[in-house]
Amino acid sequence: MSYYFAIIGTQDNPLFEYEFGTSKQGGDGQARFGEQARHLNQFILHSSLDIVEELQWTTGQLPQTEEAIKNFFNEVYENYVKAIMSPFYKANQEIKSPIFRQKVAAAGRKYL
Amino acid sequence: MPTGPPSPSPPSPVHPLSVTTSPSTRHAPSRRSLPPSSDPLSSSVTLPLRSSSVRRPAGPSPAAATLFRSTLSFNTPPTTRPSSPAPSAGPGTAQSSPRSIMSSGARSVSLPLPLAGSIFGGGSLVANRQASLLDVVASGEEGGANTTGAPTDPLSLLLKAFVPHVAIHASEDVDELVREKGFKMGLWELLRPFGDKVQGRVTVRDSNGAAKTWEDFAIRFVRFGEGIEEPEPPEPSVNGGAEDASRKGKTDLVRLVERVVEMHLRFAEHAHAYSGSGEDGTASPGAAAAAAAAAAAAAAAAAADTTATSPYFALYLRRLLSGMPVSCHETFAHPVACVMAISSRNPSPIEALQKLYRDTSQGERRLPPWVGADFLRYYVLVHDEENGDITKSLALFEQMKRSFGLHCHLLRLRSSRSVISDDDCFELPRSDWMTPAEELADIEASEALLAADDDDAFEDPARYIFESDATAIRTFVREMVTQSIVPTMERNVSVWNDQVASRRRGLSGRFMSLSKRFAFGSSSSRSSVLGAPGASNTNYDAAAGFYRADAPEAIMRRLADYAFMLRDWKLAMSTYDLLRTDFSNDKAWRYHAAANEMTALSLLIMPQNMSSKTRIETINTLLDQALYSYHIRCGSLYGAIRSVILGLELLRLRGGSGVDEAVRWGVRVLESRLLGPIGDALLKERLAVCYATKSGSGSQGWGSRWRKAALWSVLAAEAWLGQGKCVQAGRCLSQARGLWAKVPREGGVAQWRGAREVLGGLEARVKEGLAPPMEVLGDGGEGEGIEGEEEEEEVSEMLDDRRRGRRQSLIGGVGAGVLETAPLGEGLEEERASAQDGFG
Repeated sequence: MSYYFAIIGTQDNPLFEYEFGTSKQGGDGQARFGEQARHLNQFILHSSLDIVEELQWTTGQLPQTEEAIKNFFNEVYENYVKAIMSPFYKANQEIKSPIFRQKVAAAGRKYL
Repeated sequence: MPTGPPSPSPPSPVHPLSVTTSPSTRHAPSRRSLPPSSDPLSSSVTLPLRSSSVRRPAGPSPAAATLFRSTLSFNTPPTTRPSSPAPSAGPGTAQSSPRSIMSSGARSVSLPLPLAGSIFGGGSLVANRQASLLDVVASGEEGGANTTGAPTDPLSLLLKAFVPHVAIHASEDVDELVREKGFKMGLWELLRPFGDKVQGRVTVRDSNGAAKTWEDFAIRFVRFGEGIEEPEPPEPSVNGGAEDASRKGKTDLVRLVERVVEMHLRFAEHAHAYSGSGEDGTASPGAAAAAAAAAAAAAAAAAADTTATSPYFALYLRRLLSGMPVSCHETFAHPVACVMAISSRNPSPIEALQKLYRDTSQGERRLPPWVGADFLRYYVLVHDEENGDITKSLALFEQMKRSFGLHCHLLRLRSSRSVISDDDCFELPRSDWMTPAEELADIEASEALLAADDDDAFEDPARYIFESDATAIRTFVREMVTQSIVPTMERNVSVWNDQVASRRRGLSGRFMSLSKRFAFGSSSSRSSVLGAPGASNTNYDAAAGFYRADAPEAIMRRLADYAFMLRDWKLAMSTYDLLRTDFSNDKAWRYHAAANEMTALSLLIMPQNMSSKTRIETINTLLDQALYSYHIRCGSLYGAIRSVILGLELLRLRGGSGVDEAVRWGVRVLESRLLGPIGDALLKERLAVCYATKSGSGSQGWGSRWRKAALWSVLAAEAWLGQGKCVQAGRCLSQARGLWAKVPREGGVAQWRGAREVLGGLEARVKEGLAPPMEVLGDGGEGEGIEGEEEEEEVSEMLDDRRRGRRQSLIGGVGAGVLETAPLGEGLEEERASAQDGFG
């Protein structure tokens, strides 16, 4: 299973993108998107903002997902908050911190 | 006595009326078509386009342009010819483009709903629940949906597809007379376009006696005994090879539809290349330039109005629905009535009519046993105004009325041929409901002529008749429909409802299927099916694969279909619903699929009284059963595609969560690869429209699906590019831009590097495909730049986009470059002005 993870700013702009594969069941943590799927990833992610936005303003909750994904999100969120507490970070700026990237990768290995 | 039971009503006074009205109107100086100068399609016929120095191999011929009118004339100014022979209020006001109707409708309705209840569809669903889909759409509450009046709107297509079929069986002398008027195929060809819209309003009573009036009632004229599809015994295990063959046969219709749409698309591509090559477009505005201009206008319009129905999708749907064969599992294409016509030239008229009658009830040409033979016979005497003796004809007509009852008409036609130079000529439009095979044959014939390169062989496909003839035929059709066909159908519905369906609806009927009831109870026609294997308690002839027309199931199906055609959705729905279980018990899968399909469709159209969740679940189950039975059990690709696409369209019109459901069905069709490449791309385009229909609320448009719509537009563009349809791909891309521009965010998807690269790649491919070949790019290309830019600004002014800067790129440029050669320049300006007014 391959994952494409992105954090998106308030103007639909990508703040952070990361592709990785599963580390469970003998996976090596590498993303294996087909050529066809890969170039659509960003489009699909962008278009799913419609749904996210609707949920955000109606129920305010994310739909029930797998426990593993939820844990992954929680851990990444914690690190994200820490990362953007940097005094040099401005809102909607791309997150370039290599430490953050490492931590996301670690969370991915741990849960997915 | 060949007619049905004698009607108790007195003889109608309208027969003599119709006779007296025609002479008075004959000299009315009304030519419906406008002067040629304002009509690019007709003027192009005489242009020396083909003899120009720049010739493309299969360039669009001017005459061919008329063949492609159905997709060309989309969004051209409303001042072209009326598409229906029914008279309109006035030449100028009669038709307006779908877009202006929509915009004015949207403006006139102040939206009271959005903040009531849950804002995301819930509120509007509650409000819509009590109204039938027709009312919902007509009242304009449906955000950006097209109105029912628009010719390309899927709901109106659906209503006009499932209409009573009237078979025409004319004697040789009638066809001879009509052939003299220039109609090779006889009376059928002459009458056919007049069935597309019955003049005036038609009032129909439903099963409760409530009258409802319809503006857009239509019938379909077919030739008697044509298009019959034999039922197949559903025995896949026994004859696997035969099954494969039949499967192949089933796909034929779908493939034909694809090919027709492909031809239209190819014509648009050629037209574009032709006009783009700088071939003295401004000096001689040919059909090709007109086509390209129309395409560019449509592209500009499409970017502004993201929910417009693509003309190609409308064509696809229309051709899919117009090829409905006479098959056993549904009775829509079965004749409701049969017109038997003789002419005043016939030496022994009454005998001729009797012979015609015998043809339809016995002998070689009679219909198969699964078609009800008790359809209405309507007797027509065609009087030759120029050579016939009217007193003799009137006497004969009186005699006909005495012998055959009330269902008679005297049709007075002139026998000579009308030409365009005649004062009172009327161009007979081509029927909107040609079957795909017919249209394909037409196009191929014209291409063959072109290939032969014989200028003299050019034949203007337009046919003209005298205005008086048109009036007479309109009166005839209206009278037949309102006084004979509709009352007969109403009577049949009420009789069948009382005698057959009510038994099934009763308490005991609910526990026992029709077959069983009739097996143990009443005196029915059970003996006829005893030969069938395992037929101990069923009316279904499993070996032959059909119910006989007199079996209660078949009668119920006709009842439901009649109710559907008369737009009594509730009765139709409940009857289809009863049939579903019966057919399933009998393992009559094709019947089962069709009953499920129609239950879902009528349920979607009728007023809703369920909660939206139950409703959607019910409809999903029904459509699922229909798809499974059609596709897997019967291998009927046609049925599968039809049921899902119509279900999808109606779900979309229901709005709210229906839109998401509609897209889910679309994705399912795409994934199961039911469609060919053209259908695939069209459906992707359509899913974009679906998502764009879903209107959000609040200043931020929460709950809208613009990003998703844009994604589908991109996917559609990719699919078109794969087939080399660059014009269409360019249109999709510009539509995607328009959609992204609606999202109240800076930048859209272009902030994503990967996505930006993909988009850039697609655009480059479109540009490459649309660029005129270098060798034909003459000096005409020089002046284009400046004028093109002017046009470009106009286009972007018109589109009130927040991010119009983006549109200055290739797509706008291409569209503008085409506009520059438009002969319709002024017309387009007007159109734009009116469109802007509409938006306020």
